[in-house]
Amino acid sequence: MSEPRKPFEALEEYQSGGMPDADAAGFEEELFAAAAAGTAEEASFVDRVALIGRYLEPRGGLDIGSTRARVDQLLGSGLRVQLIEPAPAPSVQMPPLDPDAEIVITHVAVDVRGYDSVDVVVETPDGTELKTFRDVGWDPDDGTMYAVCEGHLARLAAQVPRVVSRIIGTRAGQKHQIAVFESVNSS
Amino acid sequence: MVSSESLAELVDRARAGERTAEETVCRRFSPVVRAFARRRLRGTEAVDEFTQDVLLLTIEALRGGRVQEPERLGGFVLGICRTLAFDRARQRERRRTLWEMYGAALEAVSVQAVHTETYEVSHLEDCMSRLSGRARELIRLGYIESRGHDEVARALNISEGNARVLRHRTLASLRECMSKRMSWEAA
Repeated sequence: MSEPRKPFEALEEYQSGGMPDADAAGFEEELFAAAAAGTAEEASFVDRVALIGRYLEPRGGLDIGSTRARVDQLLGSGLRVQLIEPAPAPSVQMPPLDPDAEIVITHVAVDVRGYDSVDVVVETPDGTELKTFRDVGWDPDDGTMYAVCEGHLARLAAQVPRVVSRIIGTRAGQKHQIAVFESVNSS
Repeated sequence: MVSSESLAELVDRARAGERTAEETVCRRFSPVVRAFARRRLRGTEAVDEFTQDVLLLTIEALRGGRVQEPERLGGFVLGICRTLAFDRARQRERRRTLWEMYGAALEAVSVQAVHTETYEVSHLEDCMSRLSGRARELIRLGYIESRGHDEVARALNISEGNARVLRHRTLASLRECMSKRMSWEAA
């Protein structure tokens, strides 16, 4: 008896061309019947990811750590962009967010060059992890990071009064804490 | 699960030219038509064009009362896909005319329509930042740019088999993340 398929496995085999044509013919009969019934859930999810991704990509929403060149491109794009450049300090008072900003960019002026990868762990002051930004990118010229974020998401995140960010670099398999700072959001 | 009766109603309403019924048909079928196209075509533009062609022809058929067996709507749409896959070149001129006549119904499944879905956009952006850089790149190349599976594997410097596993695991992980509240809300 064969093992049950993992989520998305069959759809991916089909889309990627890995599924033989003979099997694909039956698979797509089922796929289209499911679509008719409104139950093609996996294909719908993939499609939403693709559509939203195509919306976010030119707005820097998929960068997860941008370069200054990308920031300049966004500033000149015609979108309403708010650029926040707090001075490095153990505790940073964040300015109020523009209510109509479409994109919010926060410059994290910490040089992270010399590491294989960098994660940013965001926690509440009591140490509860909120989330980890994985494999964050940085500017190749000065090693600092620009966090590009949709305005709606930035305003949502700013509702958390205080967060602690720990910048963790990995070099040769070893993790190092590069910097830690607190951000105090404006109410 | 939607019953065959409601499918019959949907077809009836679409036949009567009811916009919401046409949009429902587009929403149900665009993901699977895209999946069909991704298997055969390379590039976002080609996949989009094929998908729009199929949906336009489907709406035209519905309006014209040519869907005789509503319970077999899936097979009907699949038939359009298969026919179109063999005969695309001469469709170009016809597409322009159809677009002018029925194009408005497709707006609901366009990238532009994503603009109003602020919560879902933020949620995906939030979840994408939790993925590894390699998984994000896979999503970008495979679904946003609709690159071929072999091309994605080469770009990530992994075998096609590993790329396939990474694809369905990444999608499953992303779907799980998006089924939960955003970390910022939980705080």
